[in-house]
Order: sequence, then structure tokens, then C-alpha cells
Amino acid sequence: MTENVNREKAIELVNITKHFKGVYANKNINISLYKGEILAILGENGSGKTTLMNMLAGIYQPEEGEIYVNGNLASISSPNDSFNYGIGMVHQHYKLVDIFTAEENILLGFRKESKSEVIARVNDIVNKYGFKINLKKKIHNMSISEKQTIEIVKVLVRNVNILILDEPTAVLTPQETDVLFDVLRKMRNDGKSIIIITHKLNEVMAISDRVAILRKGEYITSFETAKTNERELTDYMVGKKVDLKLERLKILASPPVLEIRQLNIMKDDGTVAIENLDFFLRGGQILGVAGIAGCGQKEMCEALVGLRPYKGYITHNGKSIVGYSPEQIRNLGIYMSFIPEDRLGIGLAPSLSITDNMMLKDYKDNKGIFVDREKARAKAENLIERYNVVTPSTETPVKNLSGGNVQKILVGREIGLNPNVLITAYPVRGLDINSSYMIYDILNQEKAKNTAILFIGEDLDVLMTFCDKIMVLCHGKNMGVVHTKNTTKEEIGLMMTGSKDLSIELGKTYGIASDSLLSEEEWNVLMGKEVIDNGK
Amino acid sequence: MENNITSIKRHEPLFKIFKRNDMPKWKALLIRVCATLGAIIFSMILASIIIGKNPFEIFGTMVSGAFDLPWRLIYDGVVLLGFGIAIVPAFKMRFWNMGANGQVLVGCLAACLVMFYFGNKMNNVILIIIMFIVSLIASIIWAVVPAIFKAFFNTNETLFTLMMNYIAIGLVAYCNFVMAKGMRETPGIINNLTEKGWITFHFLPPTIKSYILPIIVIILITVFIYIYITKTKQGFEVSVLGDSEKTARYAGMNTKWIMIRTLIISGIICGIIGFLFATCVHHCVTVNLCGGKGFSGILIAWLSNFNPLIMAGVSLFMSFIDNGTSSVTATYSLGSNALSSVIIGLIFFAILISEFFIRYRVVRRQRTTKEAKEC
Repeated sequence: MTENVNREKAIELVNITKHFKGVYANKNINISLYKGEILAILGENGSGKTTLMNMLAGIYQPEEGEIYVNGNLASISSPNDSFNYGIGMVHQHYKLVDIFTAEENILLGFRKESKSEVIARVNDIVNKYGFKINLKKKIHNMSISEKQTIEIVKVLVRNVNILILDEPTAVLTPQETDVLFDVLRKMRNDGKSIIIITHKLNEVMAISDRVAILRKGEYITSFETAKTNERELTDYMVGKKVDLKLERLKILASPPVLEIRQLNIMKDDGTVAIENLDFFLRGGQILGVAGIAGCGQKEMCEALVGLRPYKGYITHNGKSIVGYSPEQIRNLGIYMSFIPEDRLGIGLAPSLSITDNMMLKDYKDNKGIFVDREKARAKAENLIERYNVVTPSTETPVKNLSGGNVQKILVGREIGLNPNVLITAYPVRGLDINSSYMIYDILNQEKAKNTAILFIGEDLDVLMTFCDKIMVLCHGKNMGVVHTKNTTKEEIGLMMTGSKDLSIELGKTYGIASDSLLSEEEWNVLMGKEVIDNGK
Repeated sequence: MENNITSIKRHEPLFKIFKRNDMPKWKALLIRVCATLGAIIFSMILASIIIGKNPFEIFGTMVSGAFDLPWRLIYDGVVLLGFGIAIVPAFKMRFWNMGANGQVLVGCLAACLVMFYFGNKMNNVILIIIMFIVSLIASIIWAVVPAIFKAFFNTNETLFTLMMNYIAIGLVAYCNFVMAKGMRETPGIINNLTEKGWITFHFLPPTIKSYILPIIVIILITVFIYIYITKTKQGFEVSVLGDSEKTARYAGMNTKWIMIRTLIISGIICGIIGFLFATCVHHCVTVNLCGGKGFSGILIAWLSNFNPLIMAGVSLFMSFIDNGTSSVTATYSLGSNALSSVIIGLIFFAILISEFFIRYRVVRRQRTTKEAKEC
């Protein structure tokens, strides 16, 4: 790093600290960005990358520490201040007015300059860096990469010298990514400094000059990209093994309960969430799912329980449930419990009482036209006592409860339905240690009851100690299923970032159960395929 | 370090607004009552300046005028309640049905058309049954079309239901013109001599006979809707859907059907009101049959937090103000009934302001103490 000493610093962050509701998002962070370089900020979800950058963009203010821009102490208290210091940020979720044209979006916020002046500047930028844009096109008619281009131009037009990009490639195809990277290199050669937030190691290697690593809100270290490798970066990103007193129950797994083949799902924005995924769940087994946020886990869960359209084949105990709505699945007598990531937005009705939320899934089970609120109230009282839920009464709206108590209500209700398939997404996110362990205990008890459990997790340590097997997803593809006994965190980390694909490496197909309840012929019939070769 | 902190400018707004959940119910009620009383006192003073009489005398005229025709007072209040109740199921679902006016209007129109064209051609009982059925069908169509479009194409129901009002008004004007054979704007009271298609209770005193049936029916509907919303499975589905659509789908509810079904119920209630207007009260249909009741109904439902019992009280109070000020207008020959609008406007205004302070706490910037703490 000695060669950097003489170079000028574009930004220097000194001891930056920020916390939300008592939890540190950033703690004593010291990072420098030199002029004319591309710095990658690498870290897992929740490691504080975006929070840190939002402080440079004027969205948050640091509670402690100083920001120096070009060597001078800066006070950035709004996005406008940020522009005045020559800093521009392209956010992960684009901030464009959908019904305006590209031109109108770019012009927004300019007061002193004339329209022609700004447009002339836009044309300069477009020619200089080789962007392809149509200024008269409306945003809602644009593809994602076009929108991103508009966002970048919008920022550059403000004479920005420091450009921050928050996970710019998350929604791009590999080809679009290459185009973006070319543009970024041109900008760097033009003397601009660029920060790119990412958790994809191959991209870090491809684009950055230096890389800084954050973990759990703290700055870990930084490297010159040319002097490091993906494995070393993974080690620093996920950290050393944390000792967890989590127990993996040893239970003899039963035949597959849920079998999924050729699953294809789209995200809301029309991009691919899950591509040709095969997997299966056994009773009495916990299948962990590891993957970077947005690699299709959420969409997969929603499709499995019938909340999201998909293409593909799902069988439950050998019976096809393809295309069934949650209601139809229930009517078959199948109890699939789903503990979604968005507890108050999907799993519970936030303004309704605990009692009302108790009967959300089984209010139709009693006869007659009236709901049985007495039964639901008894259930609520039972659950409050059993899981030590802190609440004034059973009639309190669930949105007034704290995060841990909300989750206890949700998990308690879902377990109370005696499911034979349990799908959980980030069940302990945001919970304190005790509540977390209570949730793990409950899941283990369910496992002991021979329930098939799908566990979408984010903490690799937990996945490694708690699950029986781990399926790793990257960009919606199955990178392989590993037994937690026979793998390492590093291996999973490499698979998550797409650097390692076991299905290619070992030439194995993952996710097809050898003891499937349906024979291959039956699968072929189900999947509408012609049986080409019976003889093998 | 200290130097740095002071050099960073912190822009704090002068007032900060926080949401509050801690206001006791009695206190909230007291604030609302005080706001209403304040508005009445203020409007009485205003009226006394205009009229030039002392405010207590005006208030006295208002009270005695309102209670002069007690059945009229009750009827007006109950009709307002009916409009409010009609929108309750939809609003519970956060389906902003602005079209109660139009829905009642087409129901009344359908009944009037049958009454006009078939009045002398069939048995009175059959006629009334047919009128009832066509009223319901017309109102259901008016309510359910926006719901279908919302369910399948996610159109904006506020604009859609609002526009349906104007279609209804146009339709009524046209049909009246046709019924009057182009000679006048309306055919006047239909079957005035034969009373075909009328429901009248001749054995009752004239002050009550046309009002009694609507009052009874609307009270029954109110009780039914109260039970429907709070106790039934369908009502539970409506509450969940109103709270979070994703949660409703997660719980296995058919959200499209729930939306359509709920608007059918709204339509039925509006149809019944329209039918009662045609058979019991007005015996004709005019473009301003509903006045602004469809919209007042929305305010009443909101102010009462969708509680039918409170809605009944608020409706009667509104009716009292309306009838009372009419009598003030007549007594002091004010010419128009603008005073009523002024008073009702002031009351709503006062209540809305008090709602803000009931739900939020406003705190002034305390710069000096904060900076003292930081040092």
C-alpha cells in the first residue's frame, strides 16, 4: 500500500459510526478513496455497506467521525450538499419518476441552469463515455439497464467527480454488466473516482483497483485487487468460525415429502428469479438454503406455497400440486406452513389483534358463517404463555409488538397448524439471542415430529451447524447441495458468489431424489415428456 | 473534536411531529366533543353578527326548529346513516367507494322506470317485487363494475366510482326527459293518483307514514352490517384484505372474489335505499335526489371509525344541524340555506383538526437543551 501514500485522497472516512435503534450499522469505519481509482466495497448482507455510502450521499448523517472530501472536512446533511461536494450516488433501487421521460428525470432539480445548457452537458457525457440513451423515452417503457444508464447520467450531469454505485450489477445480465464495466473504466481513466458496492467476488476481481471489506458493520481490511484472490476475500468477508451452541438433531430422514423439478420463477420486475431448479425435502430433515440476497429465495418460497406463478413441477407426497393456490393446497388437506421474511407484510395482518391473527389460516375450519373468536382467543392465550410473548392483551394489534414477539406469534401460529412441510425465510432476522434460540428450538422440535423443513438463512455459521444439508443458490441456479458434515464455509462462500459450481465440477445433477415417490416414467408423464429411451 | 461537531450544521425543523398511541379513549372523546361545541358556539356568534340577534336566541330557534318535525329529523339522520353503512364494507377493505350517490340514484331510477311504464299493467304486489329486484340489479351493477376492473386490471376505484356517479346523473336526466315525453324536464311524481308502486301506510299519521318503513329497514341493515363485519367469516376476510392484500393471499383468501362480493353487498344496500326512495318517499327520481349524502356518509363513517353505533349518533347530530339551520334560515328569512353548510363545514373542520392532535404529538425544537447535553 506504500505506493498510495503520494496519491491524493478523494474521500477519507475517519471513525464513522452510525447506529439504528441501538444496533451498530457502522462502527469506527476508516476508508479512503484515492483519485482516479475504482474501489470495491465488499461485505455480506447487513454488513453496513449501503448505510456507509448513504452517509456520503447525504441521506444519513454519521453520529461520530468525520468525512474529508479532497482533504477538507465536509458536512453533508442532504443529497444537495453531497452534489456540491461532487459526490453522486446511484442507488440500488432506482429513484426515477416512472411517467416522466428520461430528459425530464435528468432535468429534475435543476433551477439555475437553462434546459438547453443541461441537455448540452448530457450530450457531452453521452458521447464521452459511450452511453446509449433515448432522452425522449418514458422511464416505464425502459429496461432495467436503460434505467440504470439514466440514473448514472443523471448523477454525472451534476459535475460529479466521485461516483458511488450500490450493487449496480444485481439486476443486469452478464452482457449488460460488461457494458457497464467498460463505461466505468472510461470514467476512471478520465480521472473520476468510483466506489462500487457488491458482494460478487468475480466482479470485484474484474473491475476494482482496490477492495475494502466490511463485516457486521466494521471495517476489516483492504487490499489491492491485483494482490489478492477470491478465496482470501471470502475468508475476510465471512469471518472466522463463530462458536454457536446450536444443536443438529440426528433423526432418520424419511422419504421425500416435497419434490420440485424444473422450477422457473420470475421476479416482479420480469427478471429471472429461479432457473431450472430441482430439489426435494425429506421429512425430519432441515434443508438450508444459502445465497446472496435477491438470488431467488423469496420468490422460491412464494412459489412453493402457491403465492407466485411459476413454471415447473411440484409434488407433495407424490401428488402433483402444480398451479394450486394456497386455498386449493389447504383443501387437499396439505398443511404447508410458511414463515415469510416479511412478517407484518405477508405473514400477519398488522392492524388486527393477536386473536384475529391466530385464526388467519384456519378461520374456515369451523362450521357456519361466523368466526370462532373464542377458540382463537384461547389459542392466543396459550401461545402467549408458552412462548413468553410480551403483550398487554390478546386484543393488541400485532404491529404494536416488538420484532421478537411478532415473530413468536407468527411461528407459533404456523407450528400450531401441525404442518408436514415448513418453509421459513430468515426466521431469526432482527431477533435478539434468546428469541433466536427459542425459534431454533421450535424448529428442532418440528424436525423431531418428522416435518420437512426448508430454512432460508443468511448466517453461514448457523446454516452449517443447524441444517442437515445446504442447497446453494446463485442467480437462481442450484450450485449444488452439500451435507453440512462434509463441507466448509469457504466452499459455500465460493458457491454463493458463483465461483464454484459443484454440478459442473462434479458432473452431478443435484436435487433429484434417488428414492423419489414417483418413478422416472411417472415424472415424464407429469412433465408431459415423451419417453424416448426405456432401455437405458 | 468539539470543534468539528460544532462546525457540522444540523438543520432541525422547528416542529417535530410524532405519532402517539397513548391517548386514553375518554380524553380523545372529550377533545372531539369540545371541538364540536366550539364550532357550534363559533358559528352561533357568526350567525348573530349576520342576523343581528343574540346568539342564544338563534340557538333556541335552531333547537326548537329541529325538534318541530321529530320524524323528519329521525328520517334524515337514518338516511344519512344508510349511505354511511353502504360504504362501510368497502371502506373496511380500503376500497374507496365514492359512488354511493350514483349507486342509490340508479337503484331509484330503475324502480321509477318500472313504476312509470308498468304501473297500470300488473298487480301492485308483483309490481313492487319487480321494482325491488331491478333496483338491486341496477345498484349492484353500478357498484360491482368498478370492483371487477379493480380486481382484474387494478384500476383506481376512487376515480372509477366517482365517474359512475356522473353517468348515473346523466342517465337520470335522460330517462326523466323520455318519461316526460320531452315536454318537461321530469314527469313529476309518478302515479300520483293511482299510487301504483307506492308503499304507503294510510292508517298512520301523515307525518310518519312515508318515513316509517325506510327508518325500520335501514336500522335493520345497520345491525346486519355490524354483525357481518365483526362476527362473520366474510367480514373477517374483508378486514384482513383491507389490512394487507399480501397477507390475505397468504392466508389462502380469494382476494378478487372478496372484493367483488363486498361491493355486491354495498350495491344491495344502495339498491334498497333507492327502492325505498322510489316506493315510500319521493315516488320520482331527480338528478339531485341524493344531494351530497353519499359523500357525507363517507365522512360519517370515517369520523365514527366505522362503528355503526357511533355512526348512528353522528348521523342524527348532522340531521339536527341541518334541520335546525333550515328553520333558522326560514325564521330570519335568510334566503338560502348557506348557514347550514357553514356550520357543518366548521364542525367537520374542528373535528379534523382535533383528530390530528389526538393522533400526533407536536414537539417544538429544543435546541438549547440538546446542545447542552452534547457538550
